[in-house]
Amino acid sequence: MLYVVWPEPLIVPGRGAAVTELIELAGGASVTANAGEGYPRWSVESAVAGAPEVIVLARHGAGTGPVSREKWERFAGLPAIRAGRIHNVDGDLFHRFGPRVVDALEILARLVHPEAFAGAAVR
Amino acid sequence: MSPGVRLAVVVGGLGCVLVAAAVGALFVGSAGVPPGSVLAVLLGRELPEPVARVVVLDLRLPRIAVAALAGGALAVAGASLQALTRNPLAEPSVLGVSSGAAFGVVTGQLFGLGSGMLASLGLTVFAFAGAFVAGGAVYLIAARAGGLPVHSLLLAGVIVGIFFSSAITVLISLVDTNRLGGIIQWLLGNVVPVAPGALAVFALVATAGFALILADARRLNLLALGEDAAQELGVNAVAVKRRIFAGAALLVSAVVAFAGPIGFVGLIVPHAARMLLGPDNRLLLPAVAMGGGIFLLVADTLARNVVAPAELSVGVLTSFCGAPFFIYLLRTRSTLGAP
Repeated sequence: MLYVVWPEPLIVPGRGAAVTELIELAGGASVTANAGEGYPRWSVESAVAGAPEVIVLARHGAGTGPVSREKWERFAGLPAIRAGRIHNVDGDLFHRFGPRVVDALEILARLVHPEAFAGAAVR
Repeated sequence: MSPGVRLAVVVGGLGCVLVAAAVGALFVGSAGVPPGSVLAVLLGRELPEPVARVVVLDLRLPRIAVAALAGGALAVAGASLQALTRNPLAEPSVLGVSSGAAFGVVTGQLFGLGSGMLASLGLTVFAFAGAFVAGGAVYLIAARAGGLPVHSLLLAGVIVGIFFSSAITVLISLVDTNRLGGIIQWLLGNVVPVAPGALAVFALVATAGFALILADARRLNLLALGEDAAQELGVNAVAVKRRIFAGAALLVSAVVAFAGPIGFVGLIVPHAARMLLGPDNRLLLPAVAMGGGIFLLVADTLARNVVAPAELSVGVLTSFCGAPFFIYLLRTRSTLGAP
């Protein structure tokens, strides 16, 4: 999974970041898990090199719309794009570490293992 | 050597260097794709690894193309403006054209224009409008009855440039923080891989600007004799100035729209080329188009790799390499080649 904290310049969750831990708890593997400490700036090339099967774009603040997917959808050869597994999420759930972080975990789990939620109620 | 042969040798040689640099740049990058895989992708063979294809064809190749085009465009704009103003300091950023184009692009971005083909065409229009307004303002401020004195042209350029830089600062202080990062990142000057459609727009606009300037190469040579002398030799100096200004504005606005304001290329490449090849614009303009492409391509390849897996802005790098090189030239050559 490639989690995009900030699109321009590209910022990703790296080693020791809470979002990296959330992805692991949800049963996923972050392609940037061994990137720099915390939330490093990263090149698109390095991000793509991990061949992510899911791409998650976080948006920030209630008033802002979803992050543009256009930039990523150009990379038609990536497993995530071929399978249509590119998603926008609400960054407030993922980057503010309060009780709602559990909701973030559930969203991640659904994105990583959609088959496990086949019978579960839709939220 | 006859001028025609010399032109063919210089442009052919630089063309080979440019192609070699471009091919070399395809093989290096933070993704660490093995050379064998790069070669396989280039030969069109199917690979089990899909990522190599994305990295080489969707990321590195368009970025190399943008760098070569942008470098060539900036160098030609710089060389022609130096010849026009007969001043070695002239450069798109000195004449206010870059700031005007940058103001246009920031305005366009505030209207939500992004990186798609249509949006990038829109951004180019905004950039050209900005460059045109800035260039026009410089022209009107500097124009006096019967001519366009060089010193007032430069002075007006600096003033208009400062005005538009301040206007950008105003926009930056008003913009919502979510978009601030993107705009500042763009203002640093970054070569980014653009989509094929947008790349075609870029190439088309740059070619138009280059053709406009190259058509006046001979008349630019005559202008070096001074405006009155050129006029006596049958050159309509005012018309040439207008065409060169328009061509340079086209080139600069395309670069600013697609890569952001990148400094120093328009200053360094023409001066280096003039020292090596002499001041004949018929040879110089095609040569700096190639040389500028090589310079920015090498700089961008460094920017992609020196702090990998993160990236530098190429605008920072051109200034870092450019300033010392320029000082070296100033110290070792008693006179900078007069344009």
